[in-house]
Amino acid sequence: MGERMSYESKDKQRVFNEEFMPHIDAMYNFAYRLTLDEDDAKDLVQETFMKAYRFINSFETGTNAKAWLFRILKNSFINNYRKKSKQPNKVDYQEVESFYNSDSVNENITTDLRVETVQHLIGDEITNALNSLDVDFRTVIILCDLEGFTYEEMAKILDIPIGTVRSRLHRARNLLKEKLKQYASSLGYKDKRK
Amino acid sequence: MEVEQKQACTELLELVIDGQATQKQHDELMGHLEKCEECREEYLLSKSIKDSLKNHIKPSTSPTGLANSIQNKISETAFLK
Ligand SMILES: [Zn+2]
Repeated sequence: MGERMSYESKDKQRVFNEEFMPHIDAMYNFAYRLTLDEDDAKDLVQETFMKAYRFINSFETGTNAKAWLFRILKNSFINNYRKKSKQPNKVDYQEVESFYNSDSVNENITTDLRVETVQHLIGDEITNALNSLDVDFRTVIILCDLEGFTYEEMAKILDIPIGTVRSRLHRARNLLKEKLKQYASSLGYKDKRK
Repeated sequence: MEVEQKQACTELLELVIDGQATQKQHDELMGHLEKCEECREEYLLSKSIKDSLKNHIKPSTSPTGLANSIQNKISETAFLK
């Protein structure tokens, strides 16, 4: 809204240190959960901060630095890692503007996954279930449930409309429930053998 | 429950769970949950999954040296200009 001026060199460093650096842990966590590799995560964070510095003039002081940085990180991730993979657009799921259009709403997913079961799952099982999701689905759960971004912030970070954020999130959660259900039933199997 | 109504419920439910509902939407859902067992179960399940994610997947700190190496690179860049 206000006039955007380019920063003096020393202001650049100040903005960088005061507004960007405090998010380094969150950035590292996001990078790690996307790449699932510590070295890749470090590289990704480093690259993101270098870009952030380079494009610092497009950042307005006082606005949401964390979301701005997450957006850069997400774009770098797509550029570096999606290209490497053999199937760049493996996830060709159709996303609809309406909240649900999929049949997922009619699936009775909740029937055999119970609150008590979820509460008994241990950290590794939750983590594995999340990590097993395709990266686009994993991303919305990370942003919403772990980082607490609003749908609006997510829309900006991901460059997609809010309606798509919500439908993607809904589908991601259904997939996660499916995974958790599988863990739960494998646990039940183990219990019976005891 | 009608499919359409069920969709509206789930949409509302997610807004509330994600902390992005207005007071009015929140009250509307709570009123509905009192009467509807199906949605109540869905609400509790979704909430417990969200809580589990938060409780089990704790953020870690960035590796030692990463912040320093970034700041060094930035200083170099700034100095070169
Ligand atoms: Zn209901």
